[in-house]
Formats: sequence, C-alpha cells, structure tokens
Amino acid sequence: MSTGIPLTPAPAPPAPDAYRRRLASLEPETVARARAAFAALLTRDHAVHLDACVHCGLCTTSCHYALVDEDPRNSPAYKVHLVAEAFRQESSAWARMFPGWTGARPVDAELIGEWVDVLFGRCSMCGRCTANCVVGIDVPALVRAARGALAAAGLVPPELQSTVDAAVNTGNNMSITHDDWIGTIEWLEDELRAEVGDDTARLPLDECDADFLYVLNPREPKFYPLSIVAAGAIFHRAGVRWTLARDYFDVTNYGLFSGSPEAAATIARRLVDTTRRLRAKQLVLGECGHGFAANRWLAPEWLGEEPGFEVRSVVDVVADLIRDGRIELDPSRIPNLVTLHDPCNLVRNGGVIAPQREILARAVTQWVEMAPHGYQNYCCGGGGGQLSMTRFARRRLEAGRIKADQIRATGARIVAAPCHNCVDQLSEIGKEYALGIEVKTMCELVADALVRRP
Amino acid sequence: MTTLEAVTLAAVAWSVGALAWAARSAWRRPSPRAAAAPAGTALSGIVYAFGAGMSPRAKESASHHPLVYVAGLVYHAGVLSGGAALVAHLAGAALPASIALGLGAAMTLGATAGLVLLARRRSNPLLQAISAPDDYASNAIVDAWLASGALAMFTWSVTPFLVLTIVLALYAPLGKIRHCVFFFLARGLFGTRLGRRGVVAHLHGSRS
Amino acid sequence: MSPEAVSSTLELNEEGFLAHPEGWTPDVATVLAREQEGIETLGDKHWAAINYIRAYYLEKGMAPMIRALCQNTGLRLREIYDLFPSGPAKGACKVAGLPKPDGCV
Repeated sequence: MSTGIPLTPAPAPPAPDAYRRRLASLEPETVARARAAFAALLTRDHAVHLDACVHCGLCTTSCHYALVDEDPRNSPAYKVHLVAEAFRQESSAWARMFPGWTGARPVDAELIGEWVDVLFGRCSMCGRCTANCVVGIDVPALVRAARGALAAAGLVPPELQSTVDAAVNTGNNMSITHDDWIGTIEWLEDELRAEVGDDTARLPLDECDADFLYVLNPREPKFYPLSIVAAGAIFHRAGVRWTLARDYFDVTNYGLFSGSPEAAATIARRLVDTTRRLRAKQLVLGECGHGFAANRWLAPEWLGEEPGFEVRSVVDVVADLIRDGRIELDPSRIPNLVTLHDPCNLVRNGGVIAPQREILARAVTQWVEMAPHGYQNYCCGGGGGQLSMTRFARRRLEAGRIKADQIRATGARIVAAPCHNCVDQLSEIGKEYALGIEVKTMCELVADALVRRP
Repeated sequence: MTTLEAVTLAAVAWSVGALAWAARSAWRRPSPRAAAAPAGTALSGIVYAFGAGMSPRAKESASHHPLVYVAGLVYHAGVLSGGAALVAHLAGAALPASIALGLGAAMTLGATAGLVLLARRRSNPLLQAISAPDDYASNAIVDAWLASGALAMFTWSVTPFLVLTIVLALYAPLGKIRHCVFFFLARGLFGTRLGRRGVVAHLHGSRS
Repeated sequence: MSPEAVSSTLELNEEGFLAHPEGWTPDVATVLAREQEGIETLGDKHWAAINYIRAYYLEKGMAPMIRALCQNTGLRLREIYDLFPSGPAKGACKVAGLPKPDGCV
C-alpha cells in the first residue's frame, strides 16, 4: 500500500489456501472434466482465431499488464499460446502425433495451473490486444473459453466463483435480500424527494408497461446508493415512465468472467424474463461495462433467442433526454476539469462511444479526452473479474498504473466513468498513485448539473 | 510437362485441398444460434478490417514496431512474388527478363526479411517461450523457397525451386502456414463483430 | 497491546484487508484506519459506524446495507463517504475488520 509501512505484507507467494492446495493435487477426474469442457466450448470463432495467430508477439506493447511488467506471461501472445497448445491437442491428429514439433499439449494439471495464473491472474479481457493485433485475434473470447473449462471443473478462483454463485443463488451478486432491496428503495425515495424538492418524485417498483425497466449494479443499493438517487432525479425531471423490478435488479453477469456459459445464461435469462413480465418497452442497463456487453451483445447467444425488445445503456438514454431538451443542465455547477474513462466492454467491445461525450459537452464546464481514448482506451485494470479476485490484487493495481499515468497527464480533477466496476478500480488507483481525483458516474455528474428549481 | 512439374502440381493440389479441409473443419464447429440486433452492418466492419484497419496507423502492432512491420510486408511481398513466378512457370509462360528480375529481387528481399524475423524469434524471450519447432521450420522452409525462387529468376535453374515448392506445399497445411487461409477468415470475423456492434462508425479520431 | 505492537503483528491480504478477520480488536481498527485509510483519529461517528458494521458482521457473516448503517447509527448518507474516504466497503468495512465483500468492490 502506498501509505503503508509497518504492517506485515502478505507473504509472497501467498500462503497456500484451500484453492491453491487443490490446484497442487488435482484429481484425474477433475482434469478430465476440464479437458472435456474445453473441447466442447470451442466454437467456430475460437478455432479460426487460434489457427490464424502467427505468434508474432506484437500485441505485447498494447497490453497494460505487459507494459508494467515484462514477464513474458503478461503478453497477450502468451495467453493465446496457452489456449492454442490445448487446441492443437484437441483438434488435430497430426499435432497429437508430433506434439513436441507442433506445440500440442493436453489439458493437464500443469496446464491448468498455468491457465489459473495467466488467464485468470494476468488478463482483464479488455480486448485492447485484439484491436491492435495484426490479425484481429479475439483474445478475450479465447481466454473466456479456457476459463469456462476451469469453471466446468470447479476451478475458478473462489472469490470470483462466490460472486457468480451469489448471483445464481440469490438473484444478485451481493446476496441482497428482497426486504433489504425494497427497504433501500423506499428509503432512497425520501432521499430523492429531498434532493429534487418534490414530494411526488418516485422510485417506481414493478410498474407494468413502462418505457423501460432499469437495472443496476448491486453495489449501488449496498454501498453507493447516491447513483440510484441521481438516476431517479434525471428520470423524474425528464418525466419518463420507468420502473425498477422487485425481484431481479442486477445488471452484472459474472458468468462472463468465470467463463461458464450455463451460469451466464441463467443470470441473463432473468432480466429477459423480468422485462417481459413487466411488459417494459426497453431494458435499460445501468452504468456497467461488462453488464452491457453481456446483456446487449452476448445474452442472445447464451439464450439461443433474441429478446424481442431493445436493450440500451442508460448513457445512451440520458444523452437522448439531454438532446431532446427534456432535462436542463447548468454546466457551471461543475467547474473543475473533467476527463472521461472509456470502459472496454461499453466502448471498444460495446460500440457505445458518442453518447457519453455528448453528455459531457452539455453537463460540465470543461473536459478533456485521455490519450489514447475511445476504441483505443486503456483498461482501468479492474475488468475481467479482476476486482473480485483478491489473490491477484497486487498485479491489478500495478497494471492500473497505465491508466493512472493517463489520468495524471490530463490534469483533470474529476474522472467520469460510465461503469461502477471501473469507478471502484479508478478510485483505488487514485489512492494508490495519489492522483487527487474524484471518480463519478455519468448519471451522478448529470444529476449534479441539473438546473435547480426554486 | 516434366515429372518434377507433375509432382509439384500434385503437391500444390494437396496443399489447397488440405487447407480447404482445415478451414471447413473449423467453420463447421458450433456457432451461436442467435445474435443480438445489430447496431451496424457486418459489411461496414469487414470493409474496415480489410481496408482502413490494415493501415499501420490503425494498430499498434504496426505503429509500435515499424521495423518488424516493414519486414513482414517485405516477407509477404516476396511470397506473393514467389507464387506469381511459380504460376508463370507451371503455366509455361516465359517471363520477360525485367519482370523475372523484379520477382527475383522481391524474393531475395523477402528471404532476407524472413531471416530477420527468424533471428527475432530466436532472440526474443517471449517468442522463444511461445514458439514450437514448427514456428522455426515454417519460417525456414519459406525462406529457402524464396531463395530458390530468386535463384530460378536469376539463373533459370528451376529444379531447386520446384523441389522446395513441393516441400512447402506438403508442409503448409500441417503447421502455422495455415494462417494463409485462416488470416482472412479471422479478419473477416473480427470485422463482422466490429461492424455489428457499431464500433466501426467511431473508429476515426479515437486516438489523440 | 499498544497500537505500535498491534501494527507489527497484523497480517493483511493483497488489498489491505485483514487476513484473519477473527483477530480484530479496536486497536486493530485504529491501526488500519491510520495506515490503510489515512484517518489519523477515529471519532465518535467513526466508532458508531465501525461498531455497527462489526456487530452486524459477527451476527450475519456479511457487511450491512448502507441503509441499515445509516438508520442504526443516525449517520446521514453523505456523511459516511466523508468519514471514510475509501467508501463503505473498502473504507469502513476494512477498518471494522471484515473480509472484502463480493461483487464490484
């Protein structure tokens, strides 16, 4: 820690916990399960990308892990290599006949150990390597396939698996009970009324036929509810008909990061069903990068069906409300210099690039882009489930230095980040690298800029 | 047609057939049944992937590594020249001396660039870690083939060129030279995703 | 034990959370607040939050909702973020000796 001195740091390597002990002595059945799952998970896209990679290593200088630490295992090329070895073994009789020559390798205990360290511990699945690859190899998809094989064998790092399990078993990734959720929304409704100075302002629950169902990140009701108040204030001022759901409110889908298509489908199914149950015209996703990629782009693939309603980011919705003059903003309320972080799964992998810029142009006095930004943004370092995997936290914070340097170079005092996961990582690197920044979601900024009514 | 030429043709036929079979096997793997409503067209992404997206300014693999990028271009230009020379020979076309010299020069440069890339693979710790004998062999076979092609262009002695063509054609489907087919498929899938997700529309000015 | 003695024996995980949450004492909180969170002195409001979070954790095995924290301590919502600049999860819960919560925190 940056402040820290006399505290005894965790021993490196960390003391073997149950998970590490399990990896060190894997039963043959577990290995066999991972191997079978890997073969079953490989799709057309995986096979094509793995056979297209020429092992040139030029992606190395595009990865934030590799930029802060030259260990070859940090290179995206190495990550692809670990998947490709197993792919050759699985896909080619020739490669199996001459494994030493072709570089084929069965999924065994040793490879599983490497997959855990490298594919879980050194990759945030941000896809910046893909964007800069000579070929366009979809590295995050390959990493997800290998992670999925480990998920099938029950070998996901426990801190990440418990987040997935919480979502599957309780309906949200923080195990918030029904009473706590409803109680929090009712309590926040009072906060909202005080905030907008209007006793008719509401946080509607389970209202049918609304313009949209709004889903959010469980960390909002649990720890950071002001962003719910902010969204409520914006929707109230704009006079939109919206609703929250009483049961399933969680926009996240950590199945994307554990790699388990079954868990991902179970979680994605709920939002589709809830939107249909409430007959909402649209499903609007709160500020969450991976939640956007999962629910907007991947859910139909997991579920095998198209949802039949529009799925949008709240960033897109709020930009519309501003453009249509339905809310009035006073940028002088936010005089400090703002910069914008582009969440990988919303921007490079999601295609939502312009709305957040339109919002800043209207909501704040002055803002600057980071360099590079947009499609070429650097990951904050917290993606890919890294934020939940405590055992790899040191690497995550070190890899976050690239983003910290970018932020420092802008001189901004406020970082706008349309993703709660990014907000948390950016706040942490703000502390780690003493950036002196405040990190806000787009809705929080817009709510701050709302013209006050007498 | 000599016996050597006939064997060469047979080897090339094997190569084409085996590469097509490999591509078909990959393509016949499972693929998701449903897709999300697109935010843009797949075509726009494919056009980008094979057009502006190939520019060295569009990707750091080129802009961060100009020497390797140029070596790669020269290497592949040599391969294309070798292919042209081979086709001309097998078709019985007599090349004008100026074109033969041009192809020979391109192949000489290509072989040199290939050796540079081979040396890089031997000396870079990351590339050592991710390379199998196939990576070195694939490079070396192509380098030797280019050198023999250059020799054929400069001296009209085609026997080494045809022999190495047979080696190259037999080996190509078995190792990383497969990328000569899979590159195009992968680049197309990459472009399709960018296009459908509506990313392509924003690709200008994403750097500053 | 004096805070200095406590400080030299604490074992933390990679994110500065207690490696052994069961070993928490008020002295540990003082040390964690100072060395991990930059809070020099814990005031009454800090302790109200810490004690509630700790008691809730011992009973339920998880961190409380921020609503429960506010309603049971009388602290105002925005006040929590001033008291613990790293926020409720990585600030207050860490000082109260909880393990890191699941999810995006």
